Amino acid sequence: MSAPLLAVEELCVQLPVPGGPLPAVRSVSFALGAGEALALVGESGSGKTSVLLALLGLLGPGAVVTGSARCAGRPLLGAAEADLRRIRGGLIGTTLQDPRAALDPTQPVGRQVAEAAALHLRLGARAALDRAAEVLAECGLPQGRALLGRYPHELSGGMRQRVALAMALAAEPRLLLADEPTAALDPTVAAEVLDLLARLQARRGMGLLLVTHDLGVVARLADQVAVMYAGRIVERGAAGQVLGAPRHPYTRGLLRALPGRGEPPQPIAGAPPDPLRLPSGCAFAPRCPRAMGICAREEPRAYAAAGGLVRCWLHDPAAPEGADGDGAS
Amino acid sequence: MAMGPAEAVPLLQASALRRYYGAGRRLVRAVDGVDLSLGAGEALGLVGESGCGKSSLARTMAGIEAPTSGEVRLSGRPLHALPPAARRRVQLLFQDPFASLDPRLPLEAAVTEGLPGLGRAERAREAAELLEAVGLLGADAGRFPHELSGGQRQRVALARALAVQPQVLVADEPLSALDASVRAQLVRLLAGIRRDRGLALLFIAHDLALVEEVAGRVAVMRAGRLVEVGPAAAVLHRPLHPYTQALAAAVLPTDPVLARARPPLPLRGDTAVPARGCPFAPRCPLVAERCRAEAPELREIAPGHSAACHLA
Repeated sequence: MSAPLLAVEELCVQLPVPGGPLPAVRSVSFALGAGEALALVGESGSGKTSVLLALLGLLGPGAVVTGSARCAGRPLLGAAEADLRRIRGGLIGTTLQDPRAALDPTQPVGRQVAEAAALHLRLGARAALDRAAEVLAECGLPQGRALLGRYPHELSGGMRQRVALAMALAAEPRLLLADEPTAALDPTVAAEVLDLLARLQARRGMGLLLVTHDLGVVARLADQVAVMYAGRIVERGAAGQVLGAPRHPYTRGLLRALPGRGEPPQPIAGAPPDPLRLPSGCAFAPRCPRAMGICAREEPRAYAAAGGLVRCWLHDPAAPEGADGDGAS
Repeated sequence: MAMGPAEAVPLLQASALRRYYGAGRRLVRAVDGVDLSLGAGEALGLVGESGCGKSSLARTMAGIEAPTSGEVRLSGRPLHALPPAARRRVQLLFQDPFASLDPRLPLEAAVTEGLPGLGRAERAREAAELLEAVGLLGADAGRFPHELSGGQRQRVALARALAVQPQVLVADEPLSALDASVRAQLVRLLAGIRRDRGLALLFIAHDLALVEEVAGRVAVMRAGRLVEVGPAAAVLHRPLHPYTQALAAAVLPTDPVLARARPPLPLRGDTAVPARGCPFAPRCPLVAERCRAEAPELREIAPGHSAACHLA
C-alpha cells in the first residue's frame, strides 16, 4: 500500500477562550486515499470544523495544535506560513459553506479564478484566463467566457458556489476540503452541486474531505464516515456501514433524530456537554440510553469493528452478553 | 381554489393576495396572486426555494406587512383592519430567534412583554408557566438570551408568542438553523403545544421530510405563486406539478446506495421567469406548446389536491 494522500494522527486542538483552553479536537486520527471521500460528521461544536481549519493552518493565534498531519507526504502542522500558502490552493483546494467568504466582491469572477490558476500553475495572464473559463465550464457554468467579467453580486447563490468551487479546483488540487458545501443552497441547486462534486472527484481522482452535519450529503458523496462527538471520533467506517448499521449509540441517535424515516424523529436526550467541563468517562454517557456503570468512570478505547472503529464500552469483549444487540437505527 | 377542510369560514384566509416591492423596472412580485386558507387547529406546510416569496407570504398573512392588493381574513374579518390587540391572535416565529429577542431583557421580561399591566408577582408566575410550557425551567426567568443555546432561544421565542394566546402561529423556517436532535425535540414540543391549545400552524420550511412530519397539508410556492396544494403525503410522494417533482427528487436519502442511484434532476438551467405562459416553463422537463402561451391556474386534480399545471 502506498502512503495515503492525507494522514492525520493524534490531532489535538485547544482553542483559547475565556475560562479555557477549550479542547475542540481530542486525539483525532484518520487517513484518506487518492480518489476517496471521507466525511466528518457531527453536531455544532463537535470539533469537525476545527479539524479542517487546523489542517489549513487557519485556526488563528493562540490555538494549540499537536499531533501530525501530512498531505502527499508534506507536513501541514507547524509548516511555515509561506509553505502553507503554496499548499493551500495548490495541493489542497478549499470550498466553504458561504461562498461570499471566498469571493472578492470588488473583482470580476474570471480574474479571481484565473489568479488561483496563475499562482499555483505558473501560468501567464492569458493562459490563466483560458484555464478559468475551462474550469468554470467544468463546474457547470457553460457560459464560461461570458461569465469572466461578471461580479459575484450579479450571480445567484448556486452560481457563486460553483465559482467558489472553480476557484478551489483551478490549480488542480489533489485534495479538496469542503465545509458544508451545500448548506446555503436551495435543495434543487444543492442536488446539482453534489452531483457535480461527485463527478469532478471521480474524474480527477481527487481526495475529498467533507465536513457536514447533513447525513444525506454524506450518503451521496462519502466512502468513509467519521462521526465526531465532543472533539473525538466516536465511530468510523464505510459509509454504508455507519449509516446503515451504526454501532455507536450516538450515531444511532443522530439517525433516529431525522424526519422521514417512517417514525417520528426521536431526539437524543439532554444536550452536548460544555467542552470546558467534559464529564469523566465517555463524553456521551450522560445522554446515552445504553450507558453502563463503567461509562461514567472511564473513557472507552477505540475498538475495531467491521473495518472501522467504535469508541464505546458496549464493544468491549467484557461487556455484558448482547450489550450491542440493539441492532441498527 | 385551495380551500382548507370543509367549514364555513376558514380561520385565516388569503384571497388574491399580492405583495409587491419596489416599482417600475425594479418591481418585485414577491407574492403574486395567492389563495390559501388555514383551518382552526390545522397545520399547513409552505415550501419553496429562496426568493419564491414564502417569507413575504408569511409576513403578509401574519399581518406584519400590508398586502399590495387582495386581502387576508382572520375568522372572516379583514386582518389588516383589525385593532392591534385582535391582530395579535396571529403570531410570527422567525428562523433566527435573536431577531425577536432583545439581548438586554431577561427571559421573564422577554416572554411577558406582550402582557402589559401585570403586577410583579403575576408577571413572575406567568413567565414561569410560559417557560415551563416550552420545556424550560421557571428558574430560567432571570437568564439572558445570550446564555442560551439556539434551541433554547427558539423555545423562548415560542413562549413569547404563546403569551398572548394566539390562534395561529406562522413559523418561518423556525428549525432550519438547529442540529437534528434539537430539531426533533422542537418538533415534538410544537406537536404537543398544538394539541393542547388547538393552535393552527403555518409552517414554512425547505426540508420536505420535516414538513411532512409537522403538517397535514402542504402548499408549494414558486415565483410568487402556489404551484401545488394538497395532503402532505400526496404532494410530497405523488406530486402532480413538475416543480414539486423536482423538489421531491432533490431530497437525499441517508442510504448511500439510494443516494447515489438517484438520477440527476431533470430541471433545465434557465431560472428566468418569462413574461407570459407558465412561470416554470423554461425549467420544465415536460414543457409543451400551450405552457409557453398560457399561464395555468391552480385547479383541483384530485379531491383536496390542486396543481397549476396544464399537464397535470
